Amino acid sequence: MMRKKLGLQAMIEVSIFAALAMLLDLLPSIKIIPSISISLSMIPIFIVAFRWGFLAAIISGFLWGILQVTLGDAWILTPTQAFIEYFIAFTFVGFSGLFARLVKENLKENLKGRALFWVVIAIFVGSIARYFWHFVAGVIFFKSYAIEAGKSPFIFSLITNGTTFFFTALGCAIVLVLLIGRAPQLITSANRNEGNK
Amino acid sequence: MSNSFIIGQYVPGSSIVHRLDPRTKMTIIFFFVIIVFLANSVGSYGVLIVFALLSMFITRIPIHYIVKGLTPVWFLIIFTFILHLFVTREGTVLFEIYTFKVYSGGVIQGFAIAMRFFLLILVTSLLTLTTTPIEITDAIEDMLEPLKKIKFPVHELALMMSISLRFIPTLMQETEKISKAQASRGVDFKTGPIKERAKAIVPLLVPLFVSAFKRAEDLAMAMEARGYHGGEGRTKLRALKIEKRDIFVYILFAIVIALLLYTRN
Repeated sequence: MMRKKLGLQAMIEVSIFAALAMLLDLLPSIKIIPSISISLSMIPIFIVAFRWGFLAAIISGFLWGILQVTLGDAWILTPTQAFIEYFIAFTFVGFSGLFARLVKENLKENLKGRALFWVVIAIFVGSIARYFWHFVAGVIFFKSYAIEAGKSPFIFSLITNGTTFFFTALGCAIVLVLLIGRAPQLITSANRNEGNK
Repeated sequence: MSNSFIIGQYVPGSSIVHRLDPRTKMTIIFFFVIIVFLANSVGSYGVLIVFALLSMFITRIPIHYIVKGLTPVWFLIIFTFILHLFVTREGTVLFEIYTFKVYSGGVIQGFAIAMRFFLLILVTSLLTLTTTPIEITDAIEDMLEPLKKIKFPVHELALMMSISLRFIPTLMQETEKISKAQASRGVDFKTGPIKERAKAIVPLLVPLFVSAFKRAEDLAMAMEARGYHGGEGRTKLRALKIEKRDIFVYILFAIVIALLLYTRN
């Protein structure tokens, strides 16, 4: 079913780019201040999103989440937290795929500025969708480990996830704008009717 | 990053835990993660700790691998312990640090929560330490089988996961090769202001992505040429089979649950 909807080429690209997302976490990361580092690992998911659209991006994110669990990168602290963080949050990065057409068509018509504008919007939408769930998981986590006094779980989760969200989205946006600006064919070379039926 | 690079945490071995059916391990860990939250007394924590440590020793995995896996969480374990020390105001006052009073309830609760983290992380990492990612994929595919009825693409997802896992080492080598090639041309990935670093990453990503597209295209073509047509009627190279030892482990785990319920407050 998925093969018919997506095509084999897209299906395989989705898998390979989920693997790349896993891998980019291992690259030397860019550190803003010692405790906050920018992770570029969402970039491959965004590339899939712009090339193949919403469904492909959702699947790619979902795969990335499961890969972290199977490779032992996941932190399972409560069942709900694990389910939300690894199955739902990463899948929601795929919402950036909603802007695929806007990005692709503008690039094809050589309207780079307009295309890059939608790239940035898509990155922020995808990141907000993802970190919203990390935030929810954070609240659940802090609540279940009962921090009665001091900061409320709500604010604590909002601050920690909010900062990470902002810097990660910003970092991805800078790199992707540079990347797509310089090599737009990375996005436009995807063609649904090519090579498979 | 060398040729002998093993993806994930898997440590090869031939212990009974290694040889268990991955479905058995995943089922037990799933229930373990839930029952950890039922423990509320010294006895019930004791039962879980004995079970976890016993499983750990049976795997015969060198202890430093396990400790290494736990490294990132020590901070969390200690942090929650200290937090509970200061915010829980139950029981008797044990001692005072400046104006902070440390209550006995805080120590007990802090210890219990830290133990819970420790158990969760230890047992879940035992799965990835003793099971290859591909075995886990097979198990997931098998366990999600019922979802095929509601048209959930179980087979496709398992195939995609296998492809991802297969390509991680390849892509890793490729990344290393490209970054060395770019470094020899003077690209500096490790130092400099953020803007320069972001710029430096572009010449690494472009060839990496282009080669990933090429690999995807080659694989798609190869699969089409061999007549790949999806999940219907495909047989498997590695068939999963429940053995006597799996049943034995299920029974053992049932006893653990019974003991846990018995020792609860």
